[in-house]
Amino acid sequence: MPTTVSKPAHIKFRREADGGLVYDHENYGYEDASMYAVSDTVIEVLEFVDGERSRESVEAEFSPTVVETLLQRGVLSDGE
Amino acid sequence: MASEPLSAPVTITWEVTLGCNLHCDHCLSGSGPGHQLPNELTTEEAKSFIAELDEMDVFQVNIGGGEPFVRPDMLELLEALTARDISTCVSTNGTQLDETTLDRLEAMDPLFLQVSMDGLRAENDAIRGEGVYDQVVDALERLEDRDIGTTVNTVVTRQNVADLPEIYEFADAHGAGLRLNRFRPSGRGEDAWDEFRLEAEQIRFLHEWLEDHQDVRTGDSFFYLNALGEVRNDTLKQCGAGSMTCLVDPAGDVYPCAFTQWDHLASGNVIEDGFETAWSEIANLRSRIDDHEGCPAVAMGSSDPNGEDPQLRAILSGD
Repeated sequence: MPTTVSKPAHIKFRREADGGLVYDHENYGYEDASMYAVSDTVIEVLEFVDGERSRESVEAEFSPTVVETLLQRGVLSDGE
Repeated sequence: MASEPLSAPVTITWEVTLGCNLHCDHCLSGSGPGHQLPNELTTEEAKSFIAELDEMDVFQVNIGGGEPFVRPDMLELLEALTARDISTCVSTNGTQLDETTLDRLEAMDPLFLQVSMDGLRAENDAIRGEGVYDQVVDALERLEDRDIGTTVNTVVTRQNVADLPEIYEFADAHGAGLRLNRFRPSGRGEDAWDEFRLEAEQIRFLHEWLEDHQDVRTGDSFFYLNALGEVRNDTLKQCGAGSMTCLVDPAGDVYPCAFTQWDHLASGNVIEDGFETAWSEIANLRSRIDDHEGCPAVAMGSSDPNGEDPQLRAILSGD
């Protein structure tokens, strides 16, 4: 099992007044991109991961469920 | 999307110059040789703007023109964007992509290229100029060996719609995607509207063909509708002018989109006012471009600014 989680390069995010945005973009043009309005927690996880971080530390800071959900949604990916 | 205005656009279109080495009949910006504005952003001003885009966390910048690569500093500016991890998409006519340029582009990430091809040889060159098709084919063949995400872009016209299957095969054979744009009566396209716009039967063919080719990207806010006006997919294709995206012209003036470059919808200049200020003013403009059927820009530019986009029915059904 991978011991780290990371933010895929094609995932971008930022804070907004209420929660934040996650932008998933791999091709030319924004029309086939995906964008989600997300909670503060998702933004906090992405800021905490800061590229790549041990899965154990992210699960300890937030929860295993949050990490698993973000992995399933492709907002995070398995690292090494 | 969010009901509150976003702190920054998700993506912007930045027309970096009105200069171009070609003079296409349907050019939406009316660009051409020597058409550069005297007050286009300098390299220093452009880099200052890029720094502000980064500070505001703009996710993606779509570079257009004119032909971006006629700007001597274009590669320098693209390096400045990608070094800040801003997804950068460049729309080019494909005639300026020598090996030195491709070497530098290949070193940039995240960077994507869109190369224009408006038909097979006869149809393309009739619109874009003699010999351009062969130059674009040469560029796409050289791009095939490069690690640069490439898309062939076709503005669909009455003359080239029948070529789409072959263009699709050509792009696929060269490892490129295909992206279609609607022909619009903007720039020189206004004069060519009746000559190039699709006929009813061609519109039906296009939408049926798209149904069978779901991997074809569609870069136009109308393609989320099928020929019956029904929503055919759920992406970001809804009009995001002034709410998710905006346009910055070569002089740094900010507008809701490429098709709303009117004085009464200008919202500031990225150098004189700063982009953040200009964007915050967009929220006020946005309320003036809502509530139109079809494309708000086309509706507002028509003889009945408060009515329906008069092109909508022509585009969906050929009326």
